[in-house]
Amino acid sequence: MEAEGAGHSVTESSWQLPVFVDHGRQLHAGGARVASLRADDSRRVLARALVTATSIMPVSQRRSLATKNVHDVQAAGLVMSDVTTPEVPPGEGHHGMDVEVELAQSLGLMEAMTIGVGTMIGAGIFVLPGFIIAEVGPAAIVSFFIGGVIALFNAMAAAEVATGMPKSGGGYYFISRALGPLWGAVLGWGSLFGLVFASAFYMVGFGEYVHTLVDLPVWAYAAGMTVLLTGLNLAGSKAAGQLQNLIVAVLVVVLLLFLGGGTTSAQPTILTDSAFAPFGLGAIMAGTATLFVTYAGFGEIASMAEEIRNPGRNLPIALLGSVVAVTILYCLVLAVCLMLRPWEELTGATLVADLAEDLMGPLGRGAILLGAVLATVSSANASIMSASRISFAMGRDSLIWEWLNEIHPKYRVPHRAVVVTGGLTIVVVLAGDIELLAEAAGLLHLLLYGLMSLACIILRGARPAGYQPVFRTPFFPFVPLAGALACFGVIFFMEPVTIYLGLGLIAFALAHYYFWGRHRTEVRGEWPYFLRRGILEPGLERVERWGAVADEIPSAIVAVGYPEREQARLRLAGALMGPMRGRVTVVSVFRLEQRLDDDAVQSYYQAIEERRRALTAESHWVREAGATVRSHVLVATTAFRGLVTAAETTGASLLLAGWPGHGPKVREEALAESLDRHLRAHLVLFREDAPIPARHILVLVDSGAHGELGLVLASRLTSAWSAELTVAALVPADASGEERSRVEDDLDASLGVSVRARVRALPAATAMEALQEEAHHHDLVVLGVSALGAPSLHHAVERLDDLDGPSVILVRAHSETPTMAERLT
Amino acid sequence: MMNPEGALLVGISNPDTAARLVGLSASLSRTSIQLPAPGAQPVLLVHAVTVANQINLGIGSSSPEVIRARDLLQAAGEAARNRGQRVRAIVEVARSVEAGLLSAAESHNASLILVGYSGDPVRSEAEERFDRTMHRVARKARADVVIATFRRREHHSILVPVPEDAPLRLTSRLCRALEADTGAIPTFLHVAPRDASAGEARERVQARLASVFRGGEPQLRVVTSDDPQVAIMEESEGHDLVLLGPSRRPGLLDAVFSNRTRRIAESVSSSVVIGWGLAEED
Repeated sequence: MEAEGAGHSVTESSWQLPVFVDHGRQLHAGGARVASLRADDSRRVLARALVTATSIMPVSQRRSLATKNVHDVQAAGLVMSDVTTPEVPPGEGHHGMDVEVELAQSLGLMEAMTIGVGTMIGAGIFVLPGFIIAEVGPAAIVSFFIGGVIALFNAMAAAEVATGMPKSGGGYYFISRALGPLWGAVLGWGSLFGLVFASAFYMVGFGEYVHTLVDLPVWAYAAGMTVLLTGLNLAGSKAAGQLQNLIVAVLVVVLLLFLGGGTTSAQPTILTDSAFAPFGLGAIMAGTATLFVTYAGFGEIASMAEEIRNPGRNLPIALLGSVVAVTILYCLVLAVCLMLRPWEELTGATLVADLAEDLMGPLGRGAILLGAVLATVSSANASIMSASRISFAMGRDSLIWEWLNEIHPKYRVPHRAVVVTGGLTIVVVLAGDIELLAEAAGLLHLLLYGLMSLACIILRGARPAGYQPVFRTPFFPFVPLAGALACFGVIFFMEPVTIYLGLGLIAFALAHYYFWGRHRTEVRGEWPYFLRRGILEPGLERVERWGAVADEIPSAIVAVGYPEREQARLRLAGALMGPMRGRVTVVSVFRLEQRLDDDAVQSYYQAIEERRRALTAESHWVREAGATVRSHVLVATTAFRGLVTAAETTGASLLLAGWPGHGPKVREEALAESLDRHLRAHLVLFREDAPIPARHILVLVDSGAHGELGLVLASRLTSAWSAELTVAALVPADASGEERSRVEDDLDASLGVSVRARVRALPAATAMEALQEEAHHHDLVVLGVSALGAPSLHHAVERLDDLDGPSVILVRAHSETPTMAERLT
Repeated sequence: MMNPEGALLVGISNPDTAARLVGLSASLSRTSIQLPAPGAQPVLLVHAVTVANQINLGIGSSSPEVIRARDLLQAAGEAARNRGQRVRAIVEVARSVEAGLLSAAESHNASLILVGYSGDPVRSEAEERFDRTMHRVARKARADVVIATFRRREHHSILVPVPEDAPLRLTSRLCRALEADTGAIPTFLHVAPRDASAGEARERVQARLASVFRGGEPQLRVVTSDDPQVAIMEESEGHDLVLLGPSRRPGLLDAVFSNRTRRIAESVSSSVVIGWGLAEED
């Protein structure tokens, strides 16, 4: 293959091509070419592939190669997503140029405010006042105000989580990360259906208004416009988005004109002479439940957090500012309406237009009509776009069929998601009446915002890595708690049919998660850590301070040959990385021993696919322990090349491998020696002789970094398995009792209060002698490679072959890792 | 306001023009007259990858287009580095090309944006799109904006039309850069109205050029014509490159190229460089 960057020398003439393949597609890499990629049967599938090449190649060639693979994948009729080229490993920068990838933050404060205000001022304020006043009386203004306050409380929580993790996906993303994939799935589906109901509501509102011009059925207008918007979205049109500022300006001007005209004709006595809340508090809350959809749009700002400039400042201002502005506008419109006519006469979907006609004649009606049409169409368009984004965010987490998110090759939009959203909207338009649509959309958004407030509480308590919100909700946790309770409380004032509809959708989402998503997703919620950190173990932070090394092992690689036979190693990885919420990449190296002819490729594919399935199935041992897991089958000519490449490309700081000696001796020795020399990460070798999880763990410490890392790992295992830990140090065979006591005291003092362990000084001539003495009391022995005084890793392994009984973990700390003493100073 | 010490942003989207743009950017960087240390201006290579509104921006960052863009930028970046430039390469994932360029320019404090242009006289849909994109960039960017069309492989002479009252800051900088990049000799052209005195016009323009190009005797040619556009097009016949400096930025309702600039750029057979300066000061 002619690769770019030909000016760089390739240090080996025949290079390997490890290929990470995810989600079941097969990507063959033989020699210097990618042979083919095939889909299952005739189905077009969405392949997610991480394509990389070995570290012996210059970076430019690796990337070029990865790109070539992508072309081949596309040529095979598949759609690629999540294609990743390897990061440049440290120290390789001189080979090629780093290319950064940035997301354009093109939305300023005004643009963000416009998105919020524009989405909120949809059909609601033009269509709903007549219905709400008929249901509540003059106190409808209170219903709108309460809705605004609930929205404001939840907007504060949304501002905190969105500035803490400004990612696309909005409420779904925050909730799935806080409450876990189950609630993420429920809320993902809830948001999707909520947007479908909201679109249908906007479209029916559109139909109600246009219907007054030409007497055709409302549903015909609604369905026709939905088809048109779906078509525009399929064509990837950006017209609506580019006109958003203009539309919002027109809306605000139209409403201000209505307010101006209404204020001059308003008669306050009309409002004061009638009973304010003729139907009581229940009706007021029921009104809030129906109208909440008019506040639903503020979440759209949070969902575009990663596109907003200076999100720490602009996000909270835009979120809170748009809610406050819209609440004031709504309440003023309601107040003017109630002071123009007795409330009993204020009914119908076109109430605002009727009043405008009274005030300003046909021109006023025309202005309101224009505003209503613009508002409903722009809001429905925004809802269809948002539904696609949520579908994508769920697809990224394997909580929805990836089929749905396929990108159209020409228009580059997720055409299936758009068509499904549009189709469902039409079905709902034809099936529901306008109040039911508003309530159903409101219910699902109330659920979304209520859980987002809970997510705010959980994330602040759990303090996940990287979560550093710039905006902090005032009066925490009362404001988010009140926001959540208010959201859930309002739902109980809805019509039973709406609640049943909501429960039905939740049941569908739960069933889909249980039977489909549960087995696929790797998303984990932070709530266990919220419980652990915030409630169960308030002093944990102090205790964890000792484990400074823990933070230096954010990710690890587990090398497994035959996944179904190596559950112990996977459970060990889970115990080591799970409690710290680390990332684990389970890698199985498939050795490519010869150049394959085309006939051999097929059987090779099958073998790789079987290995991959087994790997995915067995990875649950790690996932259940709390770690994030990815699994890859890696094709390479030598295990060493494959593992080193995998460690580099995933940025792993620890490699957990099996005990050398099961394969041909020369090859195993070479592997151990090569890893020892070239691996730029901690190396942990594991020999399983006794059952895992272990109950009695012995760690032999010495003064070096290897022993210290061994102690840290042993303490993690002890904590994960609730085992008993013995920390031992070697003393001369003739050491006195006083000397032994002093060593044990020193050992005890160095452990501090955070590690519960028995300390022992072991008198023996050699470490092996001491270990053989203690072996029968323990089922797992952990030690650093320097404890045995062996000249190399390979020699240490050979010596430990004489140790019978317990399982063994041999630790070689990466030399660039500072020692515990260095870390503490 | 433009940051005089900001980066020089080069939009790279076409492998055919990348090398030429890198070369010009290197010269621009070295001839920066606003920097305390000439040649210290960092170069920012940017390729904007667009993502549809229906897709999360973050997901777009792992698209195949990004990988291709990385390849393109890597090659261009290495070429720039070989020319001794301080260079960074960035794939900007954005909703539109102009949003990507403007966002990169703002977040990296760019003081000049340089992009290439195919310059095909046959108007295609892509060129119309380019027009719209550059219209917004030129209108909104807080930086100088330069568009370059390379139609000839070698440039031995440059024609620089200079209206009597047009600002010359960016023009002079581009002139120096092109001179350094190509070794071409610039010839300044002033088109005076037929009823004006060519001699007086020459004196005025010569004085302005002398104040800008200190230490040299700029070669000035003055012609009289009622149609400067035709005059420039006729004069360009003998030159390999035409450097145009429109007097003002496009407004909301303007096309990116004024009719005159557009016709010149599309009609001449030579390469064309057009620059809009920000806060022009002579």
